[in-house]
This record gives sequence, C-alpha cells and structure tokens, in this order.
Amino acid sequence: MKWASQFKVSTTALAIALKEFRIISDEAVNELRQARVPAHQKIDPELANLPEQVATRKESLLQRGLTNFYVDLCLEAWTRGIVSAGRAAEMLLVDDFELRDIAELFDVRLSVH
Amino acid sequence: MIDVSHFEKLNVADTCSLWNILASRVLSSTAESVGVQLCSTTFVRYECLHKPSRHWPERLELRKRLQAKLSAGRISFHAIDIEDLQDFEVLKNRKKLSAGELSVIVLARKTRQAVLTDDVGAQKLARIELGASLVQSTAHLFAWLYFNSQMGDSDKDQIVADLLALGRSLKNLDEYHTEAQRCRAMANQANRT
Repeated sequence: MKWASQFKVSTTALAIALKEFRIISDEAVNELRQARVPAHQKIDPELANLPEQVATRKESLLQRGLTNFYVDLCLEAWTRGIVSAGRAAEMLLVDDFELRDIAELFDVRLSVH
Repeated sequence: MIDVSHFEKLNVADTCSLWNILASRVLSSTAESVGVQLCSTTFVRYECLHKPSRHWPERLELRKRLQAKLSAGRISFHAIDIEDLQDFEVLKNRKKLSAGELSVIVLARKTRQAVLTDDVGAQKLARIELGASLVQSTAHLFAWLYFNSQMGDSDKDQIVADLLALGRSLKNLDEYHTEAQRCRAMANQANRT
C-alpha cells in the first residue's frame, strides 16, 4: 500500500506490474488487489515535496478549482503584461491583496504596482 | 518619462490606486490640500467595499479610511451606462483589463477627467482612449507634489513605509522621485539665472 501510494497508482496496477516482473505470485496478486489506498494516504502530485505552509495554501487554491497550471498561466499573462493585475485577480477569483499572496506563493516577482 | 510639472487635479481612480493613495495619510492629505479630487465608479466601490474576499487586516483598515472619506464627501462614486461599455476599444480590451479598470476609463472619457491607475496594462489602454496627458498614477502624483515643493525627500520614505505597513508598494516611486528631483533642480537653476 505504501508503494502504491508512492508511485501514485492503484493497488491493482501495482499488483499487475509486480506479477509481470514475476516478483509476486497469483495469490499475492489477488491479496494485493483487495487492498485499497485510503484517501488520506494518497499524495496529490501537485502538493508533493512542498513545505507544509505552501502546501496548505496551494491546497486551498485547489479547493477553489484553481490548479497550479491555471494559476501559473494567469500569473504569466500578468507578468508578461498581457492582462492587468486587476484582471489577473479577477481570473483567480481573488482581490489584489490575495493576488500578491498568490504571486509570492508561486515565486513570481511583482512588476506592477 | 512623464512631465512632473503637470498633474490633472480631477481624477477617476481605480481600486488599486485608490488603495495606494489611502494607504499613505501624508500623501492623501497633501494631495487633498492642493485641490486634487478623486472620484470613481460604483463598480470600484463594490470592489473596495462589498466584494467578498478573505479577511485581510490591511484591507479592513483601508476600507475604514475609504468609508471616512466617503462620509466626509471627499470621494464620490458614479454609475456608468451600459451603452458606454459598448465602445469598440473597450470591448476589444475587455479580456485584458478588469471590469473596474474598464469602468474607470469609460467614466474618465465621458466626463473628460484624468484616469488615475497604477496598473501598466490599464495605463496603456487609457492612453489610447484618452491621450497620454490624461493618464496618471500615484507615483506621478507624488512626483508632482515634490516638484512643487509640497513634499520633501523624507516624505517619500514615509510614503514607502505607510504603503508597506498596509501590504502595498509602488515599484516606480524611486524612479519618479529621481525625475522630480532632477526637474526641481533644473527649475531652481533656471530661476536663479
């Protein structure tokens, strides 16, 4: 289960892979397939290897439907001058105070204001 | 570079510049004392006072200051019409600027006042819409006050500290300050000769 969580696959996928490499027997495969990785043990790839505080903030963004990719895109549009800071804040559903916070979180230097 | 010897006194400010000016009491009171007037749109009022957001102590303080200015009648908010937003340039840029910034540009054009914004993107569009002389920023306001000896060098540090205390900053303040110093020195020299 630890390895399934580590590789971010289901226990079934892990069992099949291990069987293909002849590491485990058919019985072990069946046993492994019955196990499930509990939700709280699953590692979100977007939040892996981040300091706890950063992970918490990014998680709150994800809960609002803002993925790393989307936030990056919005911040890039802002830093490249394609959209204004106000517009970037609108796209991220925040106000300009939180925009600075998010920019800091994503290591974007504030070139406007 | 901008002309620091000139500043339009009647301004339509966007959310960001409104916060920046309100963040520094010394800047806002000096500007007021020389007759600089700020107004804005009802959408900006919504963004400033009513739009739901996370709890920020800095924002709360700025809201308080804005409320005080409103009660004292120092800042007013005006509505714009839907027809005003149907202008071609405005429509073309609706994806690049926020609704607040667009509404400010529209009101400024309608009432022939200057736009006050600290956002580079908004300034760019406003220049197309209104001409460069009617597009101003908080740093420009400071530089103009400095040029006219209404503010000194120490005031700049105070403004930077005031803004920082409320989580705000003006990247180009130093640049404008240097330009104002240069122009003031030149004007003084011209007066002497």
